[in-house]
Amino acid sequence: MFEIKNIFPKDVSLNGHKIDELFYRTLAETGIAFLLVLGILIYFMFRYRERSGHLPLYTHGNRWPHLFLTLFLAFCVFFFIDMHLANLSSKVWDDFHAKMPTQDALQVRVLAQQYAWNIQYSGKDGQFDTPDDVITMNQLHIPVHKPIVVQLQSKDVIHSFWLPNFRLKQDVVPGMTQRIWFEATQTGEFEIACAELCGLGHYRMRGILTIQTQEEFEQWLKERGSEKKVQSKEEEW
Amino acid sequence: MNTDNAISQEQKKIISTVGMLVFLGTEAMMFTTLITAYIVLRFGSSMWFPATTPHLPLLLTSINTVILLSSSAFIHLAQKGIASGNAKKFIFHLLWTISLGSLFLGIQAFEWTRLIHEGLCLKTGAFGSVFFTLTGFHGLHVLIGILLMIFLLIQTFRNVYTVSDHNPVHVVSMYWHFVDAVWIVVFTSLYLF
Amino acid sequence: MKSFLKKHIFSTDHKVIGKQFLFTGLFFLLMGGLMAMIIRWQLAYPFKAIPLIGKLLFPQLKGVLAPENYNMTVTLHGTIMVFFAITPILIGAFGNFLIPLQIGARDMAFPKLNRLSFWLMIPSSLLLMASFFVKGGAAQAGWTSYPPLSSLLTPNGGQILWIASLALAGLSTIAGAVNYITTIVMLRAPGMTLFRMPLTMWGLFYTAVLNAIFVPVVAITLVLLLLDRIAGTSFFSAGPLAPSVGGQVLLYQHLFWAFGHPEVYILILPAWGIVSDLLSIFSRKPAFGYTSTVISMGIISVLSGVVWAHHMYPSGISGSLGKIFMYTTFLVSIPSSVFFLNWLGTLSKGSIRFTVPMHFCLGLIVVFALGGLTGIFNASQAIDIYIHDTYFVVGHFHFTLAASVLFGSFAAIYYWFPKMFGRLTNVFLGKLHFWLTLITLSYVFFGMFLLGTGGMMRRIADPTVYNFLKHLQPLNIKISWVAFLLGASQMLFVINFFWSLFQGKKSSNNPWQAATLEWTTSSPPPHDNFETIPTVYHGPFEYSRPDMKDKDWLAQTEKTELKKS
Repeated sequence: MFEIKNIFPKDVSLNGHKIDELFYRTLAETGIAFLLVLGILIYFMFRYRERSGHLPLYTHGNRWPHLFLTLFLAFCVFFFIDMHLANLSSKVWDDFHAKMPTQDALQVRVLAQQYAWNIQYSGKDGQFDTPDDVITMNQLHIPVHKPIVVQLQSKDVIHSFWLPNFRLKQDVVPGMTQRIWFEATQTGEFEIACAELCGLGHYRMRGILTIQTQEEFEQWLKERGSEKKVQSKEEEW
Repeated sequence: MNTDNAISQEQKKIISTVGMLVFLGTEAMMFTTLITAYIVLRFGSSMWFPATTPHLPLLLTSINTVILLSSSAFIHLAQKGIASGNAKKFIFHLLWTISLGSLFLGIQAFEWTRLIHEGLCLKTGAFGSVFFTLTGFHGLHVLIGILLMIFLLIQTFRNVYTVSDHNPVHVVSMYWHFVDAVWIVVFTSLYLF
Repeated sequence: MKSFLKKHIFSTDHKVIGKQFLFTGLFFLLMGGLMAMIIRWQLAYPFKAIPLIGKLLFPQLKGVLAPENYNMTVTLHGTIMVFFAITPILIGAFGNFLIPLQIGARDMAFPKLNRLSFWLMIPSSLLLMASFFVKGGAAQAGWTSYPPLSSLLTPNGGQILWIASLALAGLSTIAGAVNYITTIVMLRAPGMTLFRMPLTMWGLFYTAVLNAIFVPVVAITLVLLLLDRIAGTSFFSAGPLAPSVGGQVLLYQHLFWAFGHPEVYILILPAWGIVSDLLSIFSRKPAFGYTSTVISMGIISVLSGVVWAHHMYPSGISGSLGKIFMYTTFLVSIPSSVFFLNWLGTLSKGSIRFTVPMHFCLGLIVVFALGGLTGIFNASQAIDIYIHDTYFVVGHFHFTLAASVLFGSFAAIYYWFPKMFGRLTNVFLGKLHFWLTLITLSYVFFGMFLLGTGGMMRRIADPTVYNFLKHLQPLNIKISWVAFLLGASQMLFVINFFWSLFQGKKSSNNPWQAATLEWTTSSPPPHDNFETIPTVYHGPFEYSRPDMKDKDWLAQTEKTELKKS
């Protein structure tokens, strides 16, 4: 079981490492707590096993010292582990979601459907829903080192836009328009997955995220823009 | 606490009351869920009451409210009747309760028909969904109450109830008061806001 | 024949009804487990024919699972385990069997309502089973059944039957809750104050209260979902496929989880209560911190109602709302730590008897510690961005449910088997069952934490579609084979249970030397439980008091001179 090295998918994002770090910290703290409990339990099972000559201690544990000890330990766990981790979590959440970059960001629209991702770029004129828009099916190309703002909408049921290499997912809810942002730190080809059960094709709702240099990206966009518009076809089972 | 093999009559009455109270608690949660859904849908929607929506008949429904609430007074009198051993008083007032309850349902049905004719139905957006579901659920509970009271009448004709042992009357009465109280909430939230 | 019918089918005896729930629950545990095996086969060998039973279950594709069938299996596995296995076993069976006995009553407050409560499970079960055979197949939108998928997917007659089935099961639970609460409040024997009740009773009491409050919520929510499906209403419908305006998709999730979160506490509270009692009995010392355990379980019950949106962090709710729920969720750790520490306090300086039920209690401490601590990952709003809807969550809730609640159920079954059936179970088979279950289960569900950390999503029929998941496939295969072993190990329990039912050594009144009221009467008890209603003189934990001479325990009905320490 433990032969998996690098269990997290490769992190190619600006903020992803913050989640990884928080995860490892949580793992360390809860791991220690668990091993402590396990150790105490095994010790008790051995030390206090029934044997002749050893009488149990008759106490109801309802006296003030008992109560104080229990509550003290409970509050320690709460303040030093839970609240500490909650405050860190709050900060990381804000880094991911609270500050949406407005200038300099590339705007992309994603329309999720059963079972594909329709990706829409505004094209040369910078306006969406004009004839020069570039629309692809399941192919999200982005430039590296640039904030990308993705607008998410659904054509039918709930989906979830999941970029494992950015540690980012957002449910796509019909009737709502959501916005998320991210920034890539290296080039390469990665995957988009759907993370909310959306029907029989949910397991194969796979997209490709291609991170390119600015020049490569603009070149790709130009080439796609000059191609004939592809009719979006539903994938057949 | 029960102290012997048999549970006393007084004990049985408290037990039935507690049981009915718990049950009414579950019913209260059901209506709370419906009202919560209504509030969330209404205040989350910019198009709750489009101009084409037929208006709710406030006057007729207010009269209907009075009809239903007065039926509570009658079932209370009926309960006093059976508690003093006066079967005639019990039957008379119970019949009044059943009649008023049925009248309430009749007027509700009339209103529904009229609204549907004017174009409001379950499919008319969230408003239509909420209106018919909320009033429909309440109406269903009124109907069940009427059926329960008819059952009480039948049992009375079979001389089942006595002065000391008439828990079903007591319990149905609690139910009926509850249904009336729920109507006040439904009416206020749907018609007055 | 007439007397058989009266005694077993039409009986209003809480002990008979309890056994009816037990057998029903165990049957569905087996069904749900079988579905888990199918899921694990599909994940290890996607779209390969299922051996042995594949051709029988899925003849159209010669034993291969189609994706929609996979979704149905996942949906029904969850639904069956929650509503048709655990609920009938822990709440239906042990609630019914134990409450009158442990509080010193002859039966429940409303025996006929009790009978109705079981009978409702029959059409409920039949509707669920029938859902496989209707047009469009069984429900396939997950046990959580989110719209618009659950309201707009057509054809899917199974979804309608699923809703109807759960509505009936919900009614059964509500009827049970009314009975349990009234009985505990009103029918306790003289001297049995609330604070002299065993902790099992407190667990079941809180469960009943939560059931009474929250099952109606899900009942209505499912009715609204049904209306969206068949009547064109728009409670939860929005977006391009909505039939009309004004609906909110997320409203369903809020309403569902307002029930759904308390539900998980509903499932585990009886197990917590049972373990608290059993640890005391098998350490031969009082339950440590009884009062603080009662209060903690109460606080957790209350808190369970205000944490629901931690299931919805990435759903589209605002970050601020999410933060509020993160903090309320973390609050639960305080009372949880208190009663957990009390368990350790009970064991400390005790004289531990390693009976089969005790094995499961000790095992529960381990798996619940692990399950509970991994809750911290899920509660964290930021970490949840990553692990939401991955196998990390699946690992978490299986450790807390499939492991902890199931261990609690097994502890209860092995412990009260003598009282229920008048016979003892086989000790060796019981211990073997425990060890095999603990080891295989730990591997399977810990493995799922690794899968989730690797990013593997839930409810996907074929992980190998994705490059980023391919390196996890060997782990998936290993988990599946250990899961098959986990399933096979349960046969030890089945064999032990049924063999002991007919051939087990006859049991005395009190084989465990326990102090609670049910052990003062015969095994099994007579129809009206006690010869005379007992009088209670003290709490249920008088073990190893220094002034005891010939035995180390005092039944609740035995008088005592010494004050509690």
